Amino acid sequence: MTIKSNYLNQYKNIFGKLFKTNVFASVKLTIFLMSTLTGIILIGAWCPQKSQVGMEKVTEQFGEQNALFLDKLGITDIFHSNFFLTVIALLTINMIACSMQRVFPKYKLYKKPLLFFNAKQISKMPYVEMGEFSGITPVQAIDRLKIYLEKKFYKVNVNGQQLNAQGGKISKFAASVTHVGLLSLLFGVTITSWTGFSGIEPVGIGQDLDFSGSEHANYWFGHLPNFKVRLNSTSKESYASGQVKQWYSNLSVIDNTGKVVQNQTISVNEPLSYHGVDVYQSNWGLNSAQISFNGNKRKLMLRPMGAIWAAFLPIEADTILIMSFKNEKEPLKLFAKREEWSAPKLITQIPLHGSVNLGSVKVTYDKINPVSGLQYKSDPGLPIVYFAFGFIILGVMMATLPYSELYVCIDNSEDENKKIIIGGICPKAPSQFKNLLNLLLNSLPESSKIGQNNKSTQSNLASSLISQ
Amino acid sequence: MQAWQIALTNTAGISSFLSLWAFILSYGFKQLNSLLCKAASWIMSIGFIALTLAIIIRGIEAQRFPLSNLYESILWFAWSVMGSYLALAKFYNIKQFGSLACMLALTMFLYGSWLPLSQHEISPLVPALVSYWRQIHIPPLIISYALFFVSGLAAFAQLFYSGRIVSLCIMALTVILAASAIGLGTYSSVESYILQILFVGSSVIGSYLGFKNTNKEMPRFVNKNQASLYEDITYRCVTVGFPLLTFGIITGGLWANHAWGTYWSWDPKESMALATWLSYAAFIHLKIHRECKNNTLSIVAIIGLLVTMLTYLGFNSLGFGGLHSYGRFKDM
Repeated sequence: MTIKSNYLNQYKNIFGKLFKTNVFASVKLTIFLMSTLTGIILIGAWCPQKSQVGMEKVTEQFGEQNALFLDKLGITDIFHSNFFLTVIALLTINMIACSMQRVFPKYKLYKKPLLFFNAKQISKMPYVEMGEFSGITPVQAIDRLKIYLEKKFYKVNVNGQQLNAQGGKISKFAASVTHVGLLSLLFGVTITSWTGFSGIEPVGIGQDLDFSGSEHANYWFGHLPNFKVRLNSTSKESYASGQVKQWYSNLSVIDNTGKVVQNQTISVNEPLSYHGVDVYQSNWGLNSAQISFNGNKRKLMLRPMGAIWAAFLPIEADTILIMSFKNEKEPLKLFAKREEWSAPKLITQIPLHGSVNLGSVKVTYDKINPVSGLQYKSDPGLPIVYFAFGFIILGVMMATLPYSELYVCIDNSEDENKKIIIGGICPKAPSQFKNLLNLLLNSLPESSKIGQNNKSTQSNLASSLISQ
Repeated sequence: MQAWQIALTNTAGISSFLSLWAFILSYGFKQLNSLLCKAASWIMSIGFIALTLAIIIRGIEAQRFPLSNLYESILWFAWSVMGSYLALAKFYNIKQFGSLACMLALTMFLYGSWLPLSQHEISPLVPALVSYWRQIHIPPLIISYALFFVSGLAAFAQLFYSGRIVSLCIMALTVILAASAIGLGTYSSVESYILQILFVGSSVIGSYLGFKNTNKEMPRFVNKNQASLYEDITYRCVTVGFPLLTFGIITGGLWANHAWGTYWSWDPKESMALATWLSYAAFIHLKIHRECKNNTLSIVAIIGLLVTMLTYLGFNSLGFGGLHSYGRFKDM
């Protein structure tokens, strides 16, 4: 035997031992990891994440010192922290190990028929009812119970005076289906992470989106598209109250030969899709305005001020001229603000391409430049992720059905009163199951329950049934 | 039409109040117990029908699916609580459990009625909500939250009938303190961080003490059959609520992917919904594991209720931000 094969065998032994001792396939570990993950996620929801809203937001919320402390602890970017990623990795390993050792092997039980049990075996089950009936033969009684159970969607098998039945059998595989879904989800997300890209860019009218500023994973096997997306026009629609209703952008996809291959107007919730790349309307704004002062063109950069955009021009030491724009269609409003005034005063309104004279200065509103916030992404793992979503939903829906096994045994004595024992298991809905056992007993003619809440009587009855 | 909608909503609120009293009286008058419980269920059914009509009329009036802000979601929540109690009462003999369901529905009606008027008014939708995904994504979530609340209440009943009165009192106080934090966050100007400390502090300490005292039993309250019944109801509500929550989270991911190009962005509301999902996934694994005692499971179900409360109402009132700020009515 070579040194290499010795090492291999050693590794095999270590992994074999790990799996034999169920270190990773432990449900207790699953519960511990889930609880830990819940705690981490709640902390992440409580603290603004700098990767999403920037460190400024964290500082604004907690103050500089506290924000720095939180940052040191890794809480300000908790979803990228090593601790979080380690918990996710452990949960993934745990899920794979549980799936292999506990969950998937259950499919072997699917076709395995239930056994028929005698009275002694049934009496040891978690839920048991014993009773007597008369007026019909044991075979007729079994038939009656069979019909009753089949109406409740049980799969029933009969063997003389014994019966077994299974309800909610499909729910036994709920965990398998859910785990397949969760594992597929991880697979799909990994594919996207390694081959996809995404980004967001403010694009002005006539400008192109070429995806060059996209973000992607460190280990990236993907490629950027060789087409561009041009913004032809963009607009904002508002309700009568002034509240934003929708943003629109008309886009053209231009291939590497310069040919327009697709044209579409997008809005929030209505993206453009072309060759695996999706472009979304993310936000909207006014970037700059062109204003002429006595014919001299000036480009004024605009600042967002809630629902409007504004430019500020200091014209004297204590006077500011404010130009306010609501959208790309409505006239600009011209305000003046002096130190001693409590609020700006409206001087006049200027429609697009219109002019007004302010003393000796002719002000002309030439042009407004809206900017469309376009988000884009390529997500090659998406079909797998959607497949996984479907499986997860199916799995958890299957789990709503409670699984139960039910067994019946009737004595074959010549007595007029026949003794019957009904028992079974139903871990998920025991109370309903106990009701079912009662209903089954009551469905027999002249039935009566024996030894309810009395273990010794039950035990005697079981013995008498067993002896027969 | 607006007057009809208000009248029907008020009818539902008054019904839950009357129904609660009928259930309370049924505890006192043993001879009239059955009659009073029946009357209470009937009154609740009338309230449920009235609320169903109120929601439909609100939808017709708004010319959209009536689920776009906190007030409307509270109507849906109360509707789900009433509906789930009536459905449970069909399958289980749980008469007086209705008092807890009525109290929950009534609390939600009061919470909703004290919200600012702007919440009651039918307002236009922001661009992100103008989508057919809204009616697919939100209702399952609200119904699942309602079911988790009912499950938590059933867990209280389980603790009562298994004689775990100390644990029950501790957990009840915990839920009251957590709910107070949310109430203060909604109607007062108390600093968010104080409310967060109140909510988290009471939840952590209460849960710890609740677990610690699960072995202390008061035998005179023990009723094994009733304890088993409420254990069953706790789990059944979770097994129905869990797929709805899963469906809601996944359709939310699909909607986000459709609208923003990403199905997950660790937004606070998304994160909290995932935390709720993980809590109940842990609960289901504990139940399947079978080594966990029923009383411990009841405490876990009540912790689930606290997490759900944080996700559903705490998000708006305790000062969390993010993309899901439509339900917010206060400037943070």
